[in-house]
Amino acid sequence: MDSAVAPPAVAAFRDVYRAELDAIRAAGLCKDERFIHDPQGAEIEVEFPAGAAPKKVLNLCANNYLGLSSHPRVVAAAHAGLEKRGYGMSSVRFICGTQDIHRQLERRLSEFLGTEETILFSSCLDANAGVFEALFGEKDVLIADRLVHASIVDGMRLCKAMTDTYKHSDMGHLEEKLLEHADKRFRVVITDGVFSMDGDLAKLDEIVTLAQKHGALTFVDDSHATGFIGKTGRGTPEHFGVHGRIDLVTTTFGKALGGASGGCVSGRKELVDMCRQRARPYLFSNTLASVIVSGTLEVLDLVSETTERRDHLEENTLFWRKGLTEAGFDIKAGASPIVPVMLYDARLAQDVARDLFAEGVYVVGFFFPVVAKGQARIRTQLSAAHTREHLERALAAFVEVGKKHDILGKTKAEMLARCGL
Amino acid sequence: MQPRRILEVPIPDGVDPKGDDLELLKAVFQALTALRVSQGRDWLAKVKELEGDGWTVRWGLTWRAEAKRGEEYEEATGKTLDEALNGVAQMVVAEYAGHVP
Repeated sequence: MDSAVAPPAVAAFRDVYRAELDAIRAAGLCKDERFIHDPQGAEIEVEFPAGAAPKKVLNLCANNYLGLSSHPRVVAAAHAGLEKRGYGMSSVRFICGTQDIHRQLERRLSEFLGTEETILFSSCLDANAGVFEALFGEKDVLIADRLVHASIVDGMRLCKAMTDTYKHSDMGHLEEKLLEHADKRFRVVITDGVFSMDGDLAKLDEIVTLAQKHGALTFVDDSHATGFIGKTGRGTPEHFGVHGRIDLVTTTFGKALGGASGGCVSGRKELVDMCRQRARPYLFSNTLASVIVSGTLEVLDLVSETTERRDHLEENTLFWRKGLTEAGFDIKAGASPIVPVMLYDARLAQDVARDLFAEGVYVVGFFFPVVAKGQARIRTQLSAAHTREHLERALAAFVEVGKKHDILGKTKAEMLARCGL
Repeated sequence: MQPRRILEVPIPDGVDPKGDDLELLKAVFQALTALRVSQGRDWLAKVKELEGDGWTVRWGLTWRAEAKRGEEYEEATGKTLDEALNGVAQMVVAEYAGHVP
């Protein structure tokens, strides 16, 4: 399109957005995409910057926790699903978009998660965006942990219920809020199972106890846990001994469960049935593609047959956390395979990530506004696809880059001082 | 469009409203003026239309609070000033506390 002949209104909006994009880039906040030339895995070929020759690097930033994104059985099941059920359904579920395998997957998920009923969505973001508005209204209150996922914040905004928050994992503050809103019809306690920023786990046992004491409902987004947290990978409810006692669970198939896309709401039958009638992303958006349904069914078979992958992931997590700590890195304590390496300064986080890429390790620096101010870090994520050799190599690269930036064994204050802050 | 008109209302002797009280007086006066003097009664027809469709319609004055920081913007309404400002504060906290994918 020739911008020279564009009408004035077009020129005006181009100016506005070009200026905004320039400001984002100038602030160092531009999210540049890196092109991967092969299937998702522990080692991938990455073209970065655009136009550069693809480089083989160790991948420590995917949500491929169980290493199933390119597993031969999952790929084969997806192929078979494609052959048997076709590519698309060209419909929403309630018109002509429900195949037998959609219902089969919903039943399998209910069994796996220990719930009464499940409904599929195109993504967990859609599930979170639709569930609150479908179930709760002006007589109710949604009380969320302050670090819940952005999609929950969006879902709460779309709902007419009153919204409130409690300080991150602060059970005393949560109880205050439950008491403060005692006059509401329903009080809903909302949390992530594993928080994606710090990798810490919600105190689900205490949350369930408090919710029962005050007659409140519980909601858990277990996207960073389903498939590998808990002895058999049933997620944070299993880890805390409250499996089957959460009223509403949302989760994704886009992380450990094959990593393609799709998500669900699972929980009390009446709540899920109501979502089927009223959740707008479900009613007005296409059905989950059959090829993904087929792949996810195979993933559930794989994770139900053996805990080998989740056990290996746990071993990798322990090895990685121990290795980084002994090397002198400042990491967030915890047990999840999300291991944030704290650098506190945005520029330092970007420089360390760039140097690690040069050393053959693919990680991404996170800084404000994605994380809180002064909390810049590199988020490393372990996978069952990582071998011990992969992690030893990654650790050696981290130590090399850590020495270069003189951050090993340094406190937050010392690191910030090195950055002139 | 008519030029903006300003009506001055003397404050009684001995009364010295400041800060929030002044804002409250302004808001109440503007609301009453809007309700009583504004042109048109289209809203009555809208109410009748909605009631004809079976809706029970209520309306009333409400507090509206907003917070702006550069391009960032949040707003909330409430039956009380506390409710409106708490609403804004909750959304600011929830939106900007820090989230990663």
